[in-house]
Amino acid sequence: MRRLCTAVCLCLASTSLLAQSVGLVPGQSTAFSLPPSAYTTALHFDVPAGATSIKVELESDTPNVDLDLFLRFGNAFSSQTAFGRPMTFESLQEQAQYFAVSGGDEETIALGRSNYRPVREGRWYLSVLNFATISANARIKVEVSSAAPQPVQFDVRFDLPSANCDVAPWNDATSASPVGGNPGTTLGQQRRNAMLESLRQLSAGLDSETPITVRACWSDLNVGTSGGATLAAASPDDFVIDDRSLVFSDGSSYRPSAFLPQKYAFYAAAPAARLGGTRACSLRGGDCANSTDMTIIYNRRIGESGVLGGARFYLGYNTAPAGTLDFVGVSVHELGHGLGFVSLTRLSAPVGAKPLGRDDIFSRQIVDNRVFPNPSFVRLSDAGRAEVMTSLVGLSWIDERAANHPGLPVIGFPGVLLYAPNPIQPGSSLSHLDSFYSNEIMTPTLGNRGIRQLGVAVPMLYAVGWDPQPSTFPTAPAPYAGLWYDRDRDAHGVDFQRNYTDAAGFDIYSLIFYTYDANGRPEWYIAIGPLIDGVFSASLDAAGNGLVRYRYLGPSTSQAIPGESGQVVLDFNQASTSPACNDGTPRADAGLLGVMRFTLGGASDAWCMEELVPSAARPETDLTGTWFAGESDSGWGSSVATLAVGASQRLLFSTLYYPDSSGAGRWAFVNTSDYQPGQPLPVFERRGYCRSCPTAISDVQIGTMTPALAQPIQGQAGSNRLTFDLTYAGPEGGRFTRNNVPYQLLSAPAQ
Amino acid sequence: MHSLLLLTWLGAAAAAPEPVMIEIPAHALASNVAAKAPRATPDLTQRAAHALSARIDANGRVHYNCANAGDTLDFRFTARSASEEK
Repeated sequence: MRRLCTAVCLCLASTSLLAQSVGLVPGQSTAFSLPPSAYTTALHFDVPAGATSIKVELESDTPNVDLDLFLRFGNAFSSQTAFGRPMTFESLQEQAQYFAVSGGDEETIALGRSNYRPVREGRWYLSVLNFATISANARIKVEVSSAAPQPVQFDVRFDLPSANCDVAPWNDATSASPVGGNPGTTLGQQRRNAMLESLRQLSAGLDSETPITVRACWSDLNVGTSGGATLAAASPDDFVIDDRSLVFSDGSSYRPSAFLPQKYAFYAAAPAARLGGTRACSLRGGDCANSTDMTIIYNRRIGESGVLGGARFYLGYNTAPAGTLDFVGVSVHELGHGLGFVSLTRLSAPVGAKPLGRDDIFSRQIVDNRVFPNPSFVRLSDAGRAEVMTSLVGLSWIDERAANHPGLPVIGFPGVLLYAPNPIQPGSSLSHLDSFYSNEIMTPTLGNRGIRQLGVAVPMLYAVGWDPQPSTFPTAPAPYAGLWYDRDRDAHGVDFQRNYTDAAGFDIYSLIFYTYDANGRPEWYIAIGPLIDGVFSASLDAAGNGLVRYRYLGPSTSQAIPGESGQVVLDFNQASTSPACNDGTPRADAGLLGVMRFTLGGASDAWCMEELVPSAARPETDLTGTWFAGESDSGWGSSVATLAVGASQRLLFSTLYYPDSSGAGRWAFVNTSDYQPGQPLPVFERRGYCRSCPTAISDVQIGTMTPALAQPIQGQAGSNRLTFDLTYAGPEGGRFTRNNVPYQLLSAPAQ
Repeated sequence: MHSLLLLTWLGAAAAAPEPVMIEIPAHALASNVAAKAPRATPDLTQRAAHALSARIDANGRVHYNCANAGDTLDFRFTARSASEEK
């Protein structure tokens, strides 16, 4: 077993063995047994060229167990963490590109060519988890197909009653004559037939490998005193977002959702189920028996003599006669909202506010067309959004397929106009087409009589998770190892370094967070874990912490301090669209960005990180990395960064991590614009500002350091030596010295 | 050619007997029951719920209008304040 000791004496066991993996044969059901509270990472299957869809079905022959399914392409799931500990549910989920984790014993993942991580040739890896406290006999089956994508299948639940959701009208036995193509002979049959016809119309142009479930029922909805009445109401049942920086007061957050094409934006449950390849309840967890992706509720008072003059729902499939209420048209329109044709931007006070400060995928397609270049609706201030929402003709949906939709009238504005009346019409503004499009069903007034299909709303829905076009498997961001910082939090930073590759194929990184305590005194924390598809997620230690503070007890002896430790995630995917990187600070000149979300001392924050030393500015002999004095003298170490200055000079910036007299971790730094190995340099302690305090920096010299580093070879000191003598300037004090000790690169050499 | 190979392969797979019993290495899960618990999602459905209303004019013509339904119905999968972000 390979052992690796970090600069703070984190003795880590890399995953030592990639256990023998079993290849599943497509079409062949395979049975296996899993002990209680156990998981396997030893299943895979191969997808041939030309395949267009895959479906993985997991079920149990043991009743009342909870099985979960995880899937990824590229490399296997790790069988243990970077600490050599067993995987957790969360760590398996973090490695999954797709997952199905309901509370039940059946899970399915079905993908096509248009998923964000689409079906592709090559090896796909599975992990199966038995969350129950008894053994489970499970069966798993993979199916691979080259068939064309299928239209979305809607599964309607006519059988889920609740206090305000009556299902009896679906079974109304009152006899009825077939009408307008609806062959039902009872009122209940006709209602169900009309509902199914609505869904048939709704599915035109939309595909999904995963069925979408709809809850349909009846309730006493509003009947106005001035003669109006609500006919039906609908909504997505849930929203999903891939945003690791969103943490709630109880410490919980949304599940990682690597299957969503766009991060930091809410998706409605139905397109999320399509993109995730499984039902929304399996994305969310918990019960599936009574869970759906969207809900529609009809007003059961329709037809009463005092409601709309006694007008009834017309349950035929054709155009509703005058004086009747168009059940199919109403249903298609409302369920269109359920499919994701909806903005979450607030239309009541505070008008223009985004949900939890996050975008929704519908709003991301919208621009203010009155200004050129057209500013993105989601990048406007709340007041800006409120203003453009009342501009009458200022809201445009920018999408080529929608703008070029056959039959859409040309109106002289970019894209497709959205409804922007003045004053705002709660519920109508923004989430509808402009009423100019009288042949479209997604106008607030349902368009002309007899419209049945979604029309231009179909290509608009493509942009919110229904795009049928084959996609290309995304390439994960490859962050440069080195120092990263948030320009809003200057003088704090992280040393992010690649250390080794685990047996499953994940690159294992270390992250040292150098920062300041509440009194502005320097302190540091360390994390280690895999970089998973561009996301660094710290592995947890025995106390459940990922960002750990250590106490130095002597050479090679350090102790974690659980009460002062926390969590960290550093996500390099699409960080430019994150709230953290859109905080008003200009970052147009920054390279790759990452969002670091951390929790320390019960407080969470999300910072927008960028490289301190651009990779292009690195010298030919780059000493960048994490250095330490070897396993016999670990518990302290350095971050080193070098920068080419002119043709022959190298700037060196190095942070030394060392203990004060109490063993608490402190840091100090050296800095020279003309690094010469063996040259003595002054060491400074920086008095900074806490992570949520206003900027304040002062430096005081606390000693000297003589770095003689020349050969950046991992694990070999060679001629590299380090000498220093310094005394912590805080109240604890503490002299810490080393004289000409061999010094070696702990991390992998910079690339 | 790829298609032919794929079809042949799929055809052969479909004919295979089932199920095949295998033994696979398993690992005890580290305890983190809380992480498996279903996430309580914020109440965003109130913003998303739409209701279609109608009125009928003196000529018997039906006028439809779609507006927000969040105040009328509770579509929430789970109830949770949307203001709880830390």
